[in-house]
Amino acid sequence: MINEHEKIEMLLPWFVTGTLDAEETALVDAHLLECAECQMLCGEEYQLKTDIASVPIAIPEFGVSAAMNERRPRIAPYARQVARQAVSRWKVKPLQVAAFAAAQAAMLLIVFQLAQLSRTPGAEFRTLSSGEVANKANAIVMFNADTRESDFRALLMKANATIVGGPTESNAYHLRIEPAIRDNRLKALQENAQILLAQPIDGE
Amino acid sequence: MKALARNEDSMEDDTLEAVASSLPNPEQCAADVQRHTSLRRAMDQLTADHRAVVDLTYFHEMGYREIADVMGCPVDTVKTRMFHARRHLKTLLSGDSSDWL
Repeated sequence: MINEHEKIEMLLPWFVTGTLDAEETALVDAHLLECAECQMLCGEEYQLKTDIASVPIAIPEFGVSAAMNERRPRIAPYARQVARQAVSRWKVKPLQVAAFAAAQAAMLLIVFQLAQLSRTPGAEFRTLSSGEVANKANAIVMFNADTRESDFRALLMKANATIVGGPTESNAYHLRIEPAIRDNRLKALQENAQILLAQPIDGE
Repeated sequence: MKALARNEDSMEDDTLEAVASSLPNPEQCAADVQRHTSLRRAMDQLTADHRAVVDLTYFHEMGYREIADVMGCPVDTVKTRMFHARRHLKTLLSGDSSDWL
């Protein structure tokens, strides 16, 4: 069971970057007034944030090229804007909710039946999701809002990347790239002006 | 005229001093380079998922909910990854500089 102190400690990284909501910020502020340990940790967070943000050179290993360094300020606001739009799209009326729930139940039934079928011994076909590890995402990418569909496809093909998931509400895509070439391909993506973010993640 | 010249000399000295004081001193530059090198080395030792959370938080300034969405994982996973990444970084960096963390 996580206590109040640990809960606040876990929020500190986003407190120092100013990305918590008003309620969480007030919670951290109040705790900091009475917790010397968190005051010290907060100082450390500021130091780390400042140092990482001020590293002046490209760091392809963690998703940052020299070109991306210049584009950096555009990413977070863009992700927030897209997420807000996605949230507002889901503000629907009760009747719509009921219709959506019925449709979802029907879809779940179909998916369940398909899943049962794919488990049948001796089945002669494989579902798209049956690749298990081979289909697991090992990279994240975000494109510029004005990227054309043809450029989008060309970039993915050039990177030998397969889309495993997405777009998410923030318009991020989860990709699978052959592990041996992943870092090189991500580096090439990071250099492209259409790419806001190209980040490796654990894929195994 | 001499007084005027003295005054101009004094102003030039003041300007030079102001410029000099605004420049980082060599010791500070060396310390910055050392910190950045240590940071890169420490970041290299994190797992890709931990590195991604640190990077998206501090460099791209995303909130934890946005990171959860981008990475396709629960928000609690983002917080836990950050917690462990932070602890690893602290351990890795503590040996490199006495004034770091």
